[in-house]
Amino acid sequence: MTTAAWLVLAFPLAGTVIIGLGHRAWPGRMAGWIGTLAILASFICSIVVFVNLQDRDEHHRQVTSTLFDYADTVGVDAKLTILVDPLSVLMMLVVTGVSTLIHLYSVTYMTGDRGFSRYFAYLNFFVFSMLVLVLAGNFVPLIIGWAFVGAASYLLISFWYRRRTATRAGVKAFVINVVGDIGLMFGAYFVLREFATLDFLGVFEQAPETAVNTGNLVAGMILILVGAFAKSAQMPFHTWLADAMEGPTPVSSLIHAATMVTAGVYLIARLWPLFEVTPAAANVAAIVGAVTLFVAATIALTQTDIKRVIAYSTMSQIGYMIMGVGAGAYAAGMFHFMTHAFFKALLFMGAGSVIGAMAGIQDMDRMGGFRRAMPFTFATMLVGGLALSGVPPFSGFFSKDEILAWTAQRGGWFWILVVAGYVAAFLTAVYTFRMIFRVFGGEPVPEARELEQGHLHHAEVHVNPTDGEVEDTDVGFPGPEHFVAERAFPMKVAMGTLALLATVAGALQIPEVTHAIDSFLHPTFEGSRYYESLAPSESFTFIGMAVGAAIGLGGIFVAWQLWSRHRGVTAQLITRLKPLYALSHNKWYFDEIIDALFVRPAAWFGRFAQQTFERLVVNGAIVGGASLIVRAGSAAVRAAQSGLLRSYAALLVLGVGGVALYFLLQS
Amino acid sequence: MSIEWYLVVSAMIFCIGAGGVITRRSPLVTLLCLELMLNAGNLALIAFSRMWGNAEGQVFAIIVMVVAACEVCVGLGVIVAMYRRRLPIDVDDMRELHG
Amino acid sequence: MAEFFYFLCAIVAIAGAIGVVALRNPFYAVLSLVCHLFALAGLFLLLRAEFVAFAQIVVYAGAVMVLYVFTVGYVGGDDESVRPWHGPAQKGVALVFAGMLFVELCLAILGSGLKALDGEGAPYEAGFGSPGQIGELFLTTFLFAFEAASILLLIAAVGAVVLARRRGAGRVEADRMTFTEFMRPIGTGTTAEAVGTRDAGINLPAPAAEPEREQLESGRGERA
Repeated sequence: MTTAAWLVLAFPLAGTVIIGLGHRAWPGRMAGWIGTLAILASFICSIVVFVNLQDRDEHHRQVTSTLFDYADTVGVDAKLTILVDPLSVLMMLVVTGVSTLIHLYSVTYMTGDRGFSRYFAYLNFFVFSMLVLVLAGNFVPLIIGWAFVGAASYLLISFWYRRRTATRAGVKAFVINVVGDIGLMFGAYFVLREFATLDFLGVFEQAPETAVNTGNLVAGMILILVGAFAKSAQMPFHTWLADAMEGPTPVSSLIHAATMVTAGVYLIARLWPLFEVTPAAANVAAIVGAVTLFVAATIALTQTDIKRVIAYSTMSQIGYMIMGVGAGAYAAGMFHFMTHAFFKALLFMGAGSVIGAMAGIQDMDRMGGFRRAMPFTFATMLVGGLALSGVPPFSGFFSKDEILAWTAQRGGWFWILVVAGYVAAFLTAVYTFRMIFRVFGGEPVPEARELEQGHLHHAEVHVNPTDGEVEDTDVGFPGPEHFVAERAFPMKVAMGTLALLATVAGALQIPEVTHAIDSFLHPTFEGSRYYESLAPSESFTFIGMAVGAAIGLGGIFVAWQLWSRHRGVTAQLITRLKPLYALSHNKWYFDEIIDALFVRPAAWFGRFAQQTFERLVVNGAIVGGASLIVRAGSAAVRAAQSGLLRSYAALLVLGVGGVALYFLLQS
Repeated sequence: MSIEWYLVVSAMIFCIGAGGVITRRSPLVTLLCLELMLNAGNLALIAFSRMWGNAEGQVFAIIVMVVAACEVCVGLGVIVAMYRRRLPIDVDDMRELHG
Repeated sequence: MAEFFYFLCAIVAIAGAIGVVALRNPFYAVLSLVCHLFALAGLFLLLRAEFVAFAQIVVYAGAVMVLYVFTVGYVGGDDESVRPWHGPAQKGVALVFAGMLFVELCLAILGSGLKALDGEGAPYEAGFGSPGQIGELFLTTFLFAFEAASILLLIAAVGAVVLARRRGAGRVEADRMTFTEFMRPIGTGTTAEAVGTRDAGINLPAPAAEPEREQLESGRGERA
């Protein structure tokens, strides 16, 4: 079985290498098919692993396999080990499955782009890194995978590298990710310090015996949380996610919705033994998750770029997951991760289709009335939106409500988080359907009318959707063609599959009826204080479900009123609630605060270092000084080489005198 | 006459020759001063040869004379060549071999 | 008696030496050296070196100095102008250095350093310093030095001829050139030569025409 697990890793790596090495030579869309097949093979191997795992006895479902030792010295045991257990298999299945569909989608979406092969090399590399992260059996491959996904994210965000906004966004994402990487590494150091081993199973064995909230572990877990927050775009490390929408839409769909940003959730879930003996850190996680989910939901209400709305929605939903796993509702958190992957990827794919119809424009102010022109996209986005808003019987309803119900069981101040969660759920429904009503409802815009008549709008002049800069379609810029799902079969297959999954996946964990996720993940969370104890009572569950459904439908109703029935009301609301609107529209000024606190001082320091220190001290004093000394010395010596015969003679005589003096003195 | 007298004279002539080499600007006269120094050396050689009663010193002195003659020959040849090429006959003007 | 001759020869020698160094006219300097050489020959005789004294007068004062006289006559011995010093070789410096050297040597000679100095010298043997003895030494003990000295003389003679001969005809004798220009080899094939900014021989460009002088003259003519 572990062979199959290694193959899961090997196929995307092979895909990267093969596509990458020949990226100039692959004809047409060959690179896309190779990439898709590689991930498909990986998915099939994941299924094989899953089946094999289930064959085993329930108490032997945590299997490790070591490929080689990196180093085993001075107390550090660094090995390349994979850990195959239900949690990693769940992540593996979701990651490879959704990735396959997104690769399929991308084959059409990126057609005509000059960097087509490069794109698939990067995308395969990302899937490989994510799988390394997920399958890691000790901290070393975890950190390696963590860093690699950050790199892949950077490569893919700044994929259209000649756009300055894209490269800046990529750098921003990378820098914040690196901050998280450092937190993760130092956290791992503290874990090593406490437990003298880096191996997960070894650490988990020792964890229950340690005292609660020991200094080492509190520091280590908080640092690991820094890493998780940076990767999962939780506050205050979240500012990169909105800008990451500069990347191609399938990238946003895969990395910044379904997989990479959930790495933080996975990390907390994986390290649950350590978090359960460090309640301080776990509470921090829950609080930060709750804060993020609320703030992000408020921001998404006022954004006008369709991809940013979905990005903040992602941030919010991951806040739910973090809150869940921070509070101990591990299965609920992972279930929500799975359903979220389905409907969020679907929403992004739909957004990509709409953007294709608009020939690259992402501004919702210019969209409207696409429901007749793009029925398939409309249907799938409706499914995704309903799932996101938590409307039964779609999957999002079950998963989100489960998190909130289980978190409430913790009692005490966790109720505040739960209330915030319900309020944010209301806001979620509002902004989701704001988006849907604005894009698909109302009067068709010219592009929609064109499409109704069967002609896909083609942009004469290509512009950067963020800042309007005119660009061409050469290498480093998006290709000249745009695609809509209605006309592309691969896109339809991908979106349709996801829509189906978003609809029915809820059946896996209907409360009181099915508990597939619970029981599947049980071997991983054996011994957890919360895994079973947090199960809410039947009545509580049903009340929760009813409240959740009501909130979801209420939010849809409000959105319908504001953006479909009475269209002018929003303008009045904005003027009346101007400060609130400004706060939300400017993303709670996080960008400005971080810019003032960190970016400007760093830039000032860099300028100082270059202009003053480098120029004056290093180049001037040290380098210049050294060469000045040498030059002065040699100039002094050179003066003796005047070419004058007589001075040479004088020196000779002087020398003879000196020698004679020496011998005189000697005797 | 003790030997020191001759040696002191030799030293004096040697130093006068050295001073002349440093002072004079014409290469001709510089060569003349070199001759002085060589002669001083010769005198010292002869003096010591007399002291030891060994004629080898005088043989040495003759060889020195031979060498001095050759050197004068070649040196004057160079000066004549310089004069022919209209180069300045001045030691200070020829300083291209500088650092 | 010996002392008298010694002091006579010594003073003449030193005077001649000072004359060589001090006289401005090179010809006078040569003559001063001849004088000095004669005095030195006297000193050699006092030291019982007959053959060397004889060789000194015939070879050194006779042949070498005559060569010198010829050269000075040919090259021309203008009085050296007293130029302000160019380098570190002014008379004061020379005096200091040479004086210092002299003092040291005297210290060495007269001090207790050279203990080997015997006051009176070895007892005189007959035939010491005679041509026979010198010749015997040359042809037995110092044969190699003798032959080498002969070859050296040959080389010197050939060398002097080679150095001083006239080189190829038909070359424009330019006016005063610097030493660098003189040393520049003929026709190295540099780009400068190909382009023509530098002459491929030692032909210097002809002096530019002087229109100003003509103008000046004509102007003067007009005024006049």
